[in-house]
Parts: sequence; structure tokens; C-alpha cells
Amino acid sequence: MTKIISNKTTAEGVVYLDKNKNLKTITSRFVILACNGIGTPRLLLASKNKYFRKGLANSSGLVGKNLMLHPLGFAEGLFEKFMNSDFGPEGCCVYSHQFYETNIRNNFKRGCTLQVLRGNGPLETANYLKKLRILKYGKDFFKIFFSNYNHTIPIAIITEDLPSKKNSLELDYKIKDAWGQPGVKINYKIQNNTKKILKYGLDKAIKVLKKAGAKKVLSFAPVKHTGWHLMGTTKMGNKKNSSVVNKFGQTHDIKNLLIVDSSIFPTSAAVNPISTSQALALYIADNLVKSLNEKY
Amino acid sequence: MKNIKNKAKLLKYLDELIKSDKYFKMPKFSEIAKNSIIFNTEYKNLIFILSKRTKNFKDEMRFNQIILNMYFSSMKVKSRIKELNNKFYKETNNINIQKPIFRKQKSIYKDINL
Repeated sequence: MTKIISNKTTAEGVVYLDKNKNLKTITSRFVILACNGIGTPRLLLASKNKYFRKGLANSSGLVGKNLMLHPLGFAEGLFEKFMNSDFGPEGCCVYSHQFYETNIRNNFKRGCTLQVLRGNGPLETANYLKKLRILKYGKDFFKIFFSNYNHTIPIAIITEDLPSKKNSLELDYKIKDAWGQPGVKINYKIQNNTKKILKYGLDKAIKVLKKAGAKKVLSFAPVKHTGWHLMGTTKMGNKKNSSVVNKFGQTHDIKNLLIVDSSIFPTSAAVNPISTSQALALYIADNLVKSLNEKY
Repeated sequence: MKNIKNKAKLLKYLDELIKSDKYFKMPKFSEIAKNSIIFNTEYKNLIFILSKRTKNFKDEMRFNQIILNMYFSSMKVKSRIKELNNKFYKETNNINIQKPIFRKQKSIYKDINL
């Protein structure tokens, strides 16, 4: 999809490229976007026209602003005992919300979730140990490998990233994608509040692992290449000048243009966003069906 | 710099690198490389990296990546690791992991009144 077609008050359809890169158009009564916290604002900004010069549904100027990413911390405890940690659900086995809410004793707002993860599989363990130069070739190769594999418990620290207008995205017309569409330039800096939460969460995770009997704890933050939770770039709210969509997911400027992904989150929370995204999508779809039934 | 010029010598060298003892009884590298499509396409790259006078970090990473990915994604290695996991689990917990879970599942299904 390259563009949303609209007049002053209504979205009329979308323009897309087919597999041969030919531009095609579909008209529709509603346009519903679910392209995540980067794709949705990208499309809205790329759909600017004579009625919406700053980008579609962007009268508030907040499309693409308030990007939140959930910077991650990571702590891994190495245990003497065989833990069978390469067994169980991928992602999160146990989680704690003990440090989730704002605590007035802390010098930061909000908090974090501690997620106990499944340990690495054999291939990942070998590569990881080799990268850290712990695993050595030769007669001790498997001795070192098996003293690490299934002997680790990792804990991830998910921080609640606060919204900030400085963390934003804009279109990059110099760098284009394979379809000739403008790329995305992201301006993001981890805020001081988030750094403090990361440090606090790491301290807690290290304490937990040591208390559990870990002989060695490896920890670092922020984890490289994270930032896959993309939120807040078309935020939900009641007021037209301080938000992009209303409580039904409709954009304030164009009522038949709806957004149902994590970009409508006003805050990021310190949990994985997919369940909330799904719940919001269902809620918005239910309301849309209800209002259509009442109307027709 | 290693003086390795053919596949057989390379396999011998790799067997020495990933060497198992009698306790773990892991498969030899040459055993898993026999039917490996990746090895047959990548062995020339490995020989080239080993023949270099000075190896940089990127070379080392590439070398490690090829041989570790090849070795640990082999079915023989995976099944041996699984056997060892069960053995270690039994040793540490003194129970069989499979049976209690199976029995528990059955009793849960019996209790559900549909």
C-alpha cells in the first residue's frame, strides 16, 4: 500500500502496488490500518494531500511522535546444577510485576517487568559462548559446552518507556525501499528515566539470580537490536489537539479512517504489547459493527 | 595458517577441533559432514579462511558460524543431546520426565465434564 486517498473529511480508498509494481486503486467505505507503530504513521505521512499538508489525520502534529520501544535489559545466571532450562515455553516462563508501578522511594517514574526466559538451545548456546570466547575448540569443547548448556536461567527486564515528542519518526525521501516508497528516519534516544529503570531492574534480576544460587551472573543493558515493540506514534485520546485517534480507534480528522495496532497506545506499559493490540482491535471492530448495525 | 588443501584433511582438522570424549560420546564432525549439503558447498570457504596468513575477526566469526551451525543443526547431534539431557535430568532429579506429565494430562482430561 502506498497511499490513502481522501478528501477533506472522508477516506475514499487506498492506492497499492501489485507484484509488477503497477499502481492500483481500491475504493472502500472504511480504511482500517494495522501496520504497527512505524508502518501506520509512515503511511499517514506519505498520504499527505492538499487538505492534509502535514500528513493524513495529522492536524495535531502527533503522527509519528511519541515513539516508545521498550528498551530491554538482560541478566543470565549460570548454575552448577543441571536446570533443564532449554525446555518450556519460548519467550516467557515466569514474570514478576513487583517493580511495575511507580514507587515514591525510587528516583524514576513507573517501573519494569522481570521476565524469566527459557534458556538457549544448543546451537544458540554454542554460538553465544564462542562469541564471548568462553567456548574453546579441542578436548574441552564439550565439557565447556555442557557446563553451560541447560545450566543457565535468563531474566529479561522490560522497561516502561515514557512518551516523548523527541522520540519520533519522519519520512526519508532520499532513501527509498524496493517499491520506490520513501524510507523512514527514526529519531530515538533512551531517556534518563528509562536508563534508571533499566539499572534498577538489572540490580533486582542479579539479586534474584544470586539468591537462587547462580555461580556467575552476566548482565547488560540495553540489549542490542531490541526495539521490536513499536508503540505510541498515533496516540489515542479524547482531545483532537493532543491525540490522533479517539477511543473507538477513529482518527479525529477522518471518521472512516481507523487504526487498530500498537501505534494508538498512549503509554507503553512494561509488558509485551500484542495482547493489548489484539484486545483493542477486537474492541474497535465490535464498535464499528455495532455502529453500522444501528445506522443501517 | 594451516596447510589444509583438501576435504579429507579439513575433516580431520575439524574432528580435532570439535572433539568428544568417552563420557559425552558426541558424533564426530566427519560423521555429520558426510551427508551435509552445507558442508559440500562451504568447505572451500573453510579451507580458504584457514589458509589465510592473518585472520581478522570477521573471518573467525564466519568460520565459527559455519562449523557450529552445521554441527549443532545435524539430527545426529540433536538426538544425542536429547539423550544426554534426559540422562542429566534423571541424574539430578531421579525421575523420568516423560511419565508424570503424561499421567497428569490424562487425569486432567478425565476430570473435565463436557
